Amino acid sequence: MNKSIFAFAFLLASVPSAFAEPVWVQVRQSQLRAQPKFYASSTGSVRYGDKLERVSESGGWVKVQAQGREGYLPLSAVSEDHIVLSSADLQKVRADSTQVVLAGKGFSKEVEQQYKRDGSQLRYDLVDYVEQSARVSPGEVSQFINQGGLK
Amino acid sequence: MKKRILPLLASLCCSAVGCSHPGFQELGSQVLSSTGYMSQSQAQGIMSASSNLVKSQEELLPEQEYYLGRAVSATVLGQYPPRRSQAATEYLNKIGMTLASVSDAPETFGGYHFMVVESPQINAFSAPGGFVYVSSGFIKELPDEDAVAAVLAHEIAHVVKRHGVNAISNAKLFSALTEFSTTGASIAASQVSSPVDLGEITGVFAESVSGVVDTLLTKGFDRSQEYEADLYAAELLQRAGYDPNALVRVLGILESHSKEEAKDGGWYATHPAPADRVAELSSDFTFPAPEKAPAARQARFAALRH
Repeated sequence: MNKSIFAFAFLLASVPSAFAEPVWVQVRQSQLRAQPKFYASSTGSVRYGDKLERVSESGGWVKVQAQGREGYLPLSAVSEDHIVLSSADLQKVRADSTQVVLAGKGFSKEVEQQYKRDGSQLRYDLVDYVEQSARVSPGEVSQFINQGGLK
Repeated sequence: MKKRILPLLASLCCSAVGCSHPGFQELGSQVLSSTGYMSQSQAQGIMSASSNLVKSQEELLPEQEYYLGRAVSATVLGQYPPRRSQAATEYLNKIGMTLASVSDAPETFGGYHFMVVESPQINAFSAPGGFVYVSSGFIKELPDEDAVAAVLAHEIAHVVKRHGVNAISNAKLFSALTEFSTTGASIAASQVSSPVDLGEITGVFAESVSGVVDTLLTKGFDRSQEYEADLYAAELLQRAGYDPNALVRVLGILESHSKEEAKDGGWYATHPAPADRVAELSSDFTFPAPEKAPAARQARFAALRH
């Protein structure tokens, strides 16, 4: 009996998803940081759907590794679900045992295009203006925080 | 030995193809830990991981929230056009990112965007994914940077707590979206060959956008969500180094305008009475002694105001 349970435990331990603990980037793009702080210096950039290895996790930050690089990301930037960027890539994860999410489906760019065609009053031009103009660089915010006596 | 392993293994593997009976996970955890081959916490770790295999999509993914937020914004901005002032936009985004960066969701799919919108009403709202709008009428009433931060912190709280998205959670929505989120085996077998009709998903999308817009501009969030946003805003202000008392001051400003503004809609039509919010907040948050902002912070606000 003991042998059988040991073999079962060994088998479970061999399942990569239970131990390798990968995470996938779920924001359009982000920076790996040298420290678990939003405005820490960058050690490299990551993009939507990138697979990363989770090293550790603490205080809303996850330490990850990818292709020899290491750094921190906010937990809100990663997902435990396997994000797949194209239907073609789905075939490669057929046997994958984790939850799979097909990016660009559901509420997506494609649906937005269709929704735009249906509604002539929609002001997507203003939304694009907001996205392009309402942004500041991390360096600017960091300076703003210091100048204003903030944390 | 094989006969003993297989039934249990089959039970656990069932979770990978959509069988969601919780008893299988509990059984596995008990067996592994009781035999001494693994600690209780190790066994629970494995079972926790396996529970991820069976969940259906019960909330929007960040990418989907982003497209929903863009559509909500496309409607809202038609009524409240953006103020095209680079200096004001930059200042608002620096304050907003100072707060968002200490929140529990410092990064969203498309990032946060803060914008002053043209309206004499006293109003502020946020769309899913991180679009935050404050009316020019409201900005005019705010006396200092900490007060602006208090308004933004409240709106960031709605984004982080996903209150806008919660307004549209319904079975039809998640039934449609779950088609795109499943286990590897079933998605490969079904999804690629039979995609959901674009017209159908666009219909669900349009209904969802209407639901959020209606909540933001007409119905308002639940009182409990507003109180939750106030409490979280006070915490964000404190974490960022702003004075949380600014939130009470802003609620005082709202109170002083409440009678005249209530007729015109805006914030007053969609939020609980300011006095009730102060009372609720004061019972849940320990405010520090009010603090005077450093001269540099006061100066940059004054420079922009004049």
